[in-house]
Amino acid sequence: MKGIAGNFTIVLFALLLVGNAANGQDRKLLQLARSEVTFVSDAPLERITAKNTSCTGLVDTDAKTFAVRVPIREFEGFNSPLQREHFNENYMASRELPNATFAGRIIEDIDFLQNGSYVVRAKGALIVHGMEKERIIPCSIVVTEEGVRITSLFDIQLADHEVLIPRIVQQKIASIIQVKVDLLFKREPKR
Amino acid sequence: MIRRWLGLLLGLSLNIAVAQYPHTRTIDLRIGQQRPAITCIAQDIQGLIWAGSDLGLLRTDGDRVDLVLRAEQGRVNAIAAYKDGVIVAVEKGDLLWFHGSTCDTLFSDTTWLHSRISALVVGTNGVIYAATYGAGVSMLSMSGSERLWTGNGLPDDHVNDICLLPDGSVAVATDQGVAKCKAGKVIRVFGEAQGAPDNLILTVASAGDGRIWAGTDNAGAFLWDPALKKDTALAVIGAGNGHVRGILVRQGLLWAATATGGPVIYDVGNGSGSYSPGPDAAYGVHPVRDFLEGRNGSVWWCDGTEHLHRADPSILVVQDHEGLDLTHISALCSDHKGNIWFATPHGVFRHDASFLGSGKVYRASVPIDPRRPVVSMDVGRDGTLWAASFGNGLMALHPDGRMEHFDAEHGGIDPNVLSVKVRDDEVWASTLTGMVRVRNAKAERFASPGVGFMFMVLPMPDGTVLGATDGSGLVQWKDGQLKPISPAGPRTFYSVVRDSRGEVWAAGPGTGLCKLGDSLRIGADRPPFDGEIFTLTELGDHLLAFGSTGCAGYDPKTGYWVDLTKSLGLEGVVAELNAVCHDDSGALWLASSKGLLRLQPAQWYFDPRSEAVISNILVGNSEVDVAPAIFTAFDRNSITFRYTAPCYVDPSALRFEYRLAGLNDRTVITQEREVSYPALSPGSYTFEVRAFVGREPMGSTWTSVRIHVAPPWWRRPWVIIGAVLLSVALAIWGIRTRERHLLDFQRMEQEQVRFQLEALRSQVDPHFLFNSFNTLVDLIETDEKKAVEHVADLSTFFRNILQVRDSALIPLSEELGLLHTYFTLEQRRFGEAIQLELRVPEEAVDHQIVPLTLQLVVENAIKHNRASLEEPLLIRIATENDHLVVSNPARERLSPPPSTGFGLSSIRKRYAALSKKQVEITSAHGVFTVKIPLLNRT
Repeated sequence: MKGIAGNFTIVLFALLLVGNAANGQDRKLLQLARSEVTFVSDAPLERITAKNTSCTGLVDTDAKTFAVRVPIREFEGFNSPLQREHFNENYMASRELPNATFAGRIIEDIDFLQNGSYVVRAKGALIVHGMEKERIIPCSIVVTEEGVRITSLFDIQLADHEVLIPRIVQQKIASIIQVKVDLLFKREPKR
Repeated sequence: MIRRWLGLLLGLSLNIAVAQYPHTRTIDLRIGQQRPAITCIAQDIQGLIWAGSDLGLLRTDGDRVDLVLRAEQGRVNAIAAYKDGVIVAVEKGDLLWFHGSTCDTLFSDTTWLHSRISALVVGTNGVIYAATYGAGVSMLSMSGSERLWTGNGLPDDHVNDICLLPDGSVAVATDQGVAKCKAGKVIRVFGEAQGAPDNLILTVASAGDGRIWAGTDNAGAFLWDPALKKDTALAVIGAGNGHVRGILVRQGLLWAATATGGPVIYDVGNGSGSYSPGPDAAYGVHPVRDFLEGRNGSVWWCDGTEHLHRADPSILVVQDHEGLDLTHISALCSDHKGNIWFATPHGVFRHDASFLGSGKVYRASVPIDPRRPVVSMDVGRDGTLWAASFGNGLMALHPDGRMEHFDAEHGGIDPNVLSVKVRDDEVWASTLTGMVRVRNAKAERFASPGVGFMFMVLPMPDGTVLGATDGSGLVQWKDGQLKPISPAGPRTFYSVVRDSRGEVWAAGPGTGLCKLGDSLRIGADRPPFDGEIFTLTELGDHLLAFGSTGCAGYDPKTGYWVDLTKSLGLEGVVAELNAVCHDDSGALWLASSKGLLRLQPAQWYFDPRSEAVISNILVGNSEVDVAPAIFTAFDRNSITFRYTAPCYVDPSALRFEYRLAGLNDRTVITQEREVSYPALSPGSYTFEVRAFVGREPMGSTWTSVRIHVAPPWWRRPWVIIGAVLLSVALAIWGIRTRERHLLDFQRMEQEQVRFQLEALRSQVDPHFLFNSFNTLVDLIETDEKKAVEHVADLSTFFRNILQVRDSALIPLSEELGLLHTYFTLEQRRFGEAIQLELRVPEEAVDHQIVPLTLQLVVENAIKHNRASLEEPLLIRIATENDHLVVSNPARERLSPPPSTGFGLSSIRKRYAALSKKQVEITSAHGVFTVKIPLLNRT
């Protein structure tokens, strides 16, 4: 599991290094400026929502690759502080596995220089709770002067990532978690 | 637009609820308490299954699971059969080849670290195609590697899957469409731009005729023909189901891995239609991760859990159909239009024999009374359905809808009909009270006094009719007469059947299988399964017996009588009495408590053979590579063989027969999968093993390995030859030495003899005697007394000589005595002219000396030197370091007497033969010295 997290770091650093080395040249690297990742657990007895605005990420518009990191401990919301603690300590083990990541590439061809909106698929490795799962996630991308805004709505099956929910709380925590992502990648100011 | 309509149409056809599936078996690949998540599978040439999982690489024979490679050494990304083993792509960028018990790294590439291998395919020419996600396709061979990538026309470097096409080319599934490539060149590309329903191709499979099935991310799977000039997706399936991650095409069926649990099976050979997974737990609830084309037409898949599923398309199970329960069918028959008719407690129904989603169930208007069930049916050439009801007589439903009824009131027959069969224009039925024939709408009864209850009727081609009765054995109708034809043997038969060669077989409760015409009874009173035979039928060239707890097959050619309960998946299945029929394709349909079963003839049902594999060989405690020949040393002669045989149906029924030719020819039949030979003596052996299911190893082939135990070094030929040569050389040397010794001894003897002769001769030297007698004459005249003394001394001297003559050695004291006598004799002659100075210490007189040595030396000295009263000859005898030293002044006589030169040299030779010490003779400073060694006392 650590190996996977390590891989992600390598990808992120590689992107950063390439970006820095080629800054101002052909390769365009967009940094994540504003993020909002929300999840909803809609169980028969309880509905839990939490929001995270402390994500980091990069998009390489030439290679069409991306990497996003979501620090699990930064999720806020929940119905009670105790619930948040359980989320961190019991289910997500966020002390040992602090981040959820999604890194991969955008399948469809889009022009990041042309303003407009696109519907694309992002294919890559989604790592939650240290477990990797290959996913193809549909996203919508809006390209503006300001930057690139990516929004997506997808599901995560807890079983896929070996997040174990005790039977006693199965009525309160859904086995499929809906995730909503709203990310704004900003362009570097033109020199 | 057309594509969408097509997709909609096919998508709709999915929704027809048919719970039917090929017989599926699940194998659990748990390792102790650990449950591997299996993501890819392959089968090697020996039939062993290899599986890549999160725990590592697993191998199984159906019984044992081995963890061949741990995940720490590299997670398995892809796997494929290669030569006599499998190739495995691991995450750290290596391509490993596992064969036997060894593992070799075939290729290694750092680009595979970042762009993992997503699929492996081995081409017909041995080229390995490694599809990578990010670096195109690497074509690897021993002579070099080539690459297919965007640089030479591939639509994308991100490849998800690859498959081999019949013409030797490959189809490549990329993120931007599918491509057909041959000899390192991209021939054609098909993506969204060319009209494909989706660009993101997740999987490709060969349709077998050059066409390619491609599974997409969000538009199901489509068929593409690269040979067509026009780019078009020929057929789209499962569009409504979203993605298709895996495809396997086999025998006209397409198996698709979709988002739902278990594979969805489409009949692409017969047009549209699909099987959807039934409520069988074995089918699995997890989405399929990888397919595998197994042996005997089987299809394997894994689903990311520890389970492997193995489906057998030749066995189809139909449990219910459009809500119709098919687990309580009481009668079954087929017509000549490809339909299957079946009777349940709710009615009589008809369906086409393909049983795919396209057909509809048609309900026949045959009156049904649940208390009087339809127990037998048959359809005539004219399409008339004949239904036999136990209690309600015989009913005929004509194609025009007209009904006919025969019972006690109509036709006057027994209403309790047990079976009905149509032959041309006649209908034959068996009842509680005999046989019935219906011809031209008229019923006739045939009864015989002893014959009552008749379970089954069988019209024969020769115009006779056979009946299986309760209590009267088999009866035959001939020319209007019923006669028992099996007077001996069992009396009650449920079924009677005629096989493809015209022979008649019957079976009943406790009878086993009986053949008409002779007393052959196979399996004595019991079938191989535990229970009664309810239904006997034929399939292909074989007979099948279904019963209360299972099924058995009989091969009349070989006489094999095999329990098929587990291979056909009939555990716990109860067959209905004679509810069985054949359709036009030769398949067998059986009504059972599990539902309607369709069995397509397959040789493997009856084949008890299995191919044995020698999996490990241990010499001592260390494992050696499994090779055709094993060489070992005499002190490592404890050898253990582990063997297995791939068997995925019923591994517990597997038996092995082995022998070690060279040790003895005795074969051993066992269920153990290991044998040890603790101490093999040097030599050559052949270990042979074969596997089989059932009681006897019928026709199984031997798998063998040769063992050579080398003899110890001292028993190797060159060592033996060397030893022989050495011993011969030693013997020759010894003989020669001994010969030399003998010669020496002989020479010494001769010397001694000559010495003695010489001594005697010298003693009786006429000069000596003459001188002695002269002296005596003088003495007689002068001194009579001295003369007497002289004669006495002379006599003593000669007596002493005679005494010592034969001794090799004598003590010095004796020799000195001898010398004294001699010297006294000589002194009488010479008087004071010769003098003897004797300085021999007391302790030296015990030493040994060659006899007469001193006498000889002193005689020599007197003989050769001048002596006078003026100049007396002084002879000194002393000892010096174990030597006796005799010295005298050297004063040569002016006229030396004649000498043989024998005296001194004789002494020297005798001492050389006796001792290492030499006699030294020196003449220096006017002194002549003879050093005689004193020998030790013996």
